[in-house]
Amino acid sequence: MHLWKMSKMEISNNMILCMFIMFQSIIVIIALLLGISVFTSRYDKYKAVHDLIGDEGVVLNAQHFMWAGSNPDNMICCEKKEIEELFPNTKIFSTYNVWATYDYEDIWDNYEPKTIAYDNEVAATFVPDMDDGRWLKESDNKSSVVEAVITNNKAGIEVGDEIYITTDFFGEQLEEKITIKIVGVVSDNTYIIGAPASYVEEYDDVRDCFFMYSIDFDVRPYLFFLKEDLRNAENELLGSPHITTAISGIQFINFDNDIKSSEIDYIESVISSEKCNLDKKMNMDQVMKNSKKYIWNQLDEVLPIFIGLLVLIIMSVICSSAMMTRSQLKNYAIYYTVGLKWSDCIKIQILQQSILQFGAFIITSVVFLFMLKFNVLDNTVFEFSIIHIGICLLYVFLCIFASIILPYRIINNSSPKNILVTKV
Amino acid sequence: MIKLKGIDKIYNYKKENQFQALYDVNLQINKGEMVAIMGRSGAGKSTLLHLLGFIDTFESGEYYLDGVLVDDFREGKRAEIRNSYFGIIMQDFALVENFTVIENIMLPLDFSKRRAKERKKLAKDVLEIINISELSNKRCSKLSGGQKQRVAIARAIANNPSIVLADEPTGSLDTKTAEEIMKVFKILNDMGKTIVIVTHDMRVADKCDRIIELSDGKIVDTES
Repeated sequence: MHLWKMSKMEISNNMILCMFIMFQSIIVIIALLLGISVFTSRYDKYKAVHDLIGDEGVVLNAQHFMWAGSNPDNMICCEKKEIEELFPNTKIFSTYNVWATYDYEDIWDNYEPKTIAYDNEVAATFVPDMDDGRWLKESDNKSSVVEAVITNNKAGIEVGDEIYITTDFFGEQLEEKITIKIVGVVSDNTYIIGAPASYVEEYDDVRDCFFMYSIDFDVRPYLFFLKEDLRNAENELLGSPHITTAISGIQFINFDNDIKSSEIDYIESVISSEKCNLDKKMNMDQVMKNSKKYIWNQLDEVLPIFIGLLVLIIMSVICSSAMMTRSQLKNYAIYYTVGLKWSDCIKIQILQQSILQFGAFIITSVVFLFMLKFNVLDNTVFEFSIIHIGICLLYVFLCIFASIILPYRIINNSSPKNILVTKV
Repeated sequence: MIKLKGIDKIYNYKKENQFQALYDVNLQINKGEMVAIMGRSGAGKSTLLHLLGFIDTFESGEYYLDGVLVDDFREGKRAEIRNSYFGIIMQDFALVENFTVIENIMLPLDFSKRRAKERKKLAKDVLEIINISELSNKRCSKLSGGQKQRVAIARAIANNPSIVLADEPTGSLDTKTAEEIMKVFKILNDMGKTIVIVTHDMRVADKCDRIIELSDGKIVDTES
């Protein structure tokens, strides 16, 4: 305990220098958080796609055809099971277009949402930024109410609101209306997994598997729910499916471990056929290769600057800690006369630097969390996760280690007796 | 209480600029004595005092403290003895200038194993004994020489040590203040503490029970 007390007292004796050291570290931690945020926001998309399609899978873009059935000659797929029949030894994770008409207490006009349904695995693999509420999650119980998430919208639909599907695609009134309960609102200008067919971009990297909704450009909001939830509700209320869905846009094809190369070749030939409504976007190799460029874009320009900054700061920490130690030697010698072990001086140094570096980390973290909570950092890439905390803590420990290199030498090469008898 | 046998102190031992400061010092200081160590500059007085107080080490000889040979004590044990057995007053007071009086006095108590409440009580008691209670929250940098010396004495006795070692305690003080300081030492001696004072000043030495005279690192005389 006495070492803690000595550390705090020495900090108060060197307040200006200590504030300078903390300020330096705060700058570096902010730069670290920014760099990591840029990286993770891009890497998260890559990881989501990899989780779905594995090491060798394929991402496809499905153009939907309403009336064509499963026909080996035409190879048109409207439902997931049709792709599964077409491609043996694969797992398919789909996004769907949903033809539904909604009844909402206020007049829709042009604000009636477009609807995307997901397989559970697709929704689970990537969570977009939310303005309110939560993203979709698989429920344990079958329910007659469908949980849904909506984009930022001018219709004023919020978390807790309920809207109703009352008619099917053909305009027939349903015997029982299906309740859609809003559990979340997606932030504007954020990536959402599974681009609709018409939205699919041509970056040729992971971004093609996502789309970005902006209320400024798209008046009609998007509504998202799990296809399984819709079917459960239909079965509960109507006894069977009534609402038309069809695969549309990005489909994720995961190859089983025991798939043969001849089967992969067959899949390649089918999807490159004009008779198939599934267009190949990318396989995992292409995802990895092209996405690396996307992930590291900009980062590899600022990385040398950041490394330079880090080196300068570490050197500054080394020098300032040496200065502090020199100025504190007389005090250490006094502590020695009243019972401090000389070897404990370095412990006081370590504790001092720990207080300063952890202090900088805590201050920066609290400010960041505060800003995230009050949405000050919306429309920026800043995030704050375990990865951010871990890397920042690595920097903190690096600084603490660097800050004792010279003090260790100074203290070991000093004698308390000589310090005490030397007249300044 | 303290017994030195054949103590040699050599600076820069086995190096080119080797220098022997103490030669075959044999010394005994009994419990409750007030002893002055005198000699010219460079005689080895402060060196001897530092050895006694575990601030410095020696190259050969034996040091007995209350009958126990302390030569091979490790750093931790030596620190513990410095904290609990000795109270050391250095030549230039050796106060932490940025600390207040009470913070300086608390230093040996902070390194002890006493509880916080006990530490605070002891510090307050010592302030009263030395008659500097009114200076408690004053920064040491703002004190006069005499006040600093009192604070140094207060710190030295805060942990109730058996032995007080003082290096030139009146060296930089005027006559009146020096007399006041010596009165304080007398009070401490009357309380049963063993006092060892390094001094040039005969008036200080006269107030002690015994004078040990050093010349060129050797004890030449010990007179009562």
